[in-house]
Amino acid sequence: MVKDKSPGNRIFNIVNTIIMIIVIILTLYPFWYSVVGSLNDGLDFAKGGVYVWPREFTLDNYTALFSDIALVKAFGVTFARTVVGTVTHIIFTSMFAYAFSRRNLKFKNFYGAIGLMSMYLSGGLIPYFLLINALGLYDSFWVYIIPWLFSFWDAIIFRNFFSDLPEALIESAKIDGASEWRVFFQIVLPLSKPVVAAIALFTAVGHWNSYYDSMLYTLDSNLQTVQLYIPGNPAPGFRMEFGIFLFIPGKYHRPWRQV
Amino acid sequence: MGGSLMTDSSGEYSRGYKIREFIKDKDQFSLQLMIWPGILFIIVFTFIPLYGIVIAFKEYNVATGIKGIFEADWVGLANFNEFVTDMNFWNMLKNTVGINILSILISFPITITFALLLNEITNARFKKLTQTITYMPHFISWSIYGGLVIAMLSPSTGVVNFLLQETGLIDEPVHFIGEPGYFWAIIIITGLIKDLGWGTILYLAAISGIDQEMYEASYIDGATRFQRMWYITLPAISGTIVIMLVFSISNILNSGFDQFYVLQNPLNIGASEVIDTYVYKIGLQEFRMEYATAVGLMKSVIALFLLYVANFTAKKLTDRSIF
Repeated sequence: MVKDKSPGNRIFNIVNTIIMIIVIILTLYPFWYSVVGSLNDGLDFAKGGVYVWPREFTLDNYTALFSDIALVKAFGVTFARTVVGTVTHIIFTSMFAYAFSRRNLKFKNFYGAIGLMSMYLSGGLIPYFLLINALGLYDSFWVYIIPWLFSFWDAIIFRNFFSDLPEALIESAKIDGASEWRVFFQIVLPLSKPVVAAIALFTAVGHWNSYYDSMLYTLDSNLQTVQLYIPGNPAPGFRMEFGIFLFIPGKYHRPWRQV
Repeated sequence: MGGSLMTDSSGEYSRGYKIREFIKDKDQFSLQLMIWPGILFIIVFTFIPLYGIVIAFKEYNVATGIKGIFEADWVGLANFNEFVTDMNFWNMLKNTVGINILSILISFPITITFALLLNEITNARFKKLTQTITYMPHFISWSIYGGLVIAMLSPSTGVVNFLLQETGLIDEPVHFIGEPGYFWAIIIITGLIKDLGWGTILYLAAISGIDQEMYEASYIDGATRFQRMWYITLPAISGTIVIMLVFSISNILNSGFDQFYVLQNPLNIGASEVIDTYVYKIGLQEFRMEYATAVGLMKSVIALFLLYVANFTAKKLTDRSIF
């Protein structure tokens, strides 16, 4: 960039920095608020006024949280679906993308057209629900995995990365007699760590945050995910994210929760 | 350059390529084996549900299951008619379209301005920090974030009421989430705070493609910061802006279901019921699947039409378009 030392430029930089700091505070404050609340005594918190720092410090909320069996279970389900779902999605989608990136693939245009259509067409919520039911996925753990296996959008991102890899690598492996499977799993995939990491991050976050499928396709409380358990639970103040428990107290120990 | 050794370029697959050779070609067979799981997935999860659309034109009973889809009586456009004559229809339409238009008018320019300002940060580390922090809330689900919003807006313990009272803007605590009058503002402001950073990604990607020499030349010519932003950066990302605008316009009947569902309550329902939440309630809670499908279909058709119109307009006015 060009170095500009005029006064107008300096004022611009100062104002810009101030704007950015305000945005950062607005973004971070809700999280800070929940951390502070989680470390404050529940009854005291309910009186209000706890905004910046805990007034009556306590770890009781976390003790209560960890002793909630249903939550720990919901946590387990969410963790399992995130790990299994992300790994299977990566393998399933990248495999498609590898084949799709190869020049000698037959019927490539046909497959591309099908993929494009899948991005724009949808039968809507209800037929999809009936399909899940008909496939026997309703109220099964696999409802968290199978519908997430493939995404054409992710496949395109993979494909773009794969096509940038040097063709000579694949050629030489083929001369040495490697099969397409071997080229994919032992050469292409290990070389594609950046794109795998990016897609894995997005998929994992999607899995972790998804509560819509848990709400729609499961009834069994053993299959509830954390994201569904939290708002559906009689303690609406109680929130968790990024593997860290953040707990707004005062609502968790309501008498009717024991009933 | 070519693919495998056996078939150096796609051109070699001429008409002479027979099924027998195809099976013999082990590489081709492997590739097809890699492709087909994905294709099957699309067929099952995208194409098969498309048949379900017919229930929009039928009188369907959930209890009859899949078979019922084909056996139910045709009722023509009765389900569509029921929707547009629904007593909630105009209110829902007002909420859905109103919030989306306000969001295009307010959130859209703010996100672009924020992207431009982010780009103007001179300290690389501060820029990175700001970006990372503002991306964060996007990764948090609305079921969590919405809870935080509700807690912060609470009349008794919420920080927003506290601040407004301290600064003397209000005398009595306001029950923000329970008053329909505030709901639109809550949706737009919280949506903006949550996705401001994330929304800039595409613009920043476009900005990073600008030739630095343009800035240097403008500097030598004596252009100010604002002039550079206005005459170089903004025109360079105008293509992205037009595309995002076209998409927003075609999505005018869609709302982020999660955000509305979490922030909705019986007190603010007059301002918070949108088509997406209504379809969910009617379809899956009252099991009126034919009705919900009809609404969904109607939305898709209108969205496609809007996409076409917006795209056409963009092409005529700015010479840029999606297709």
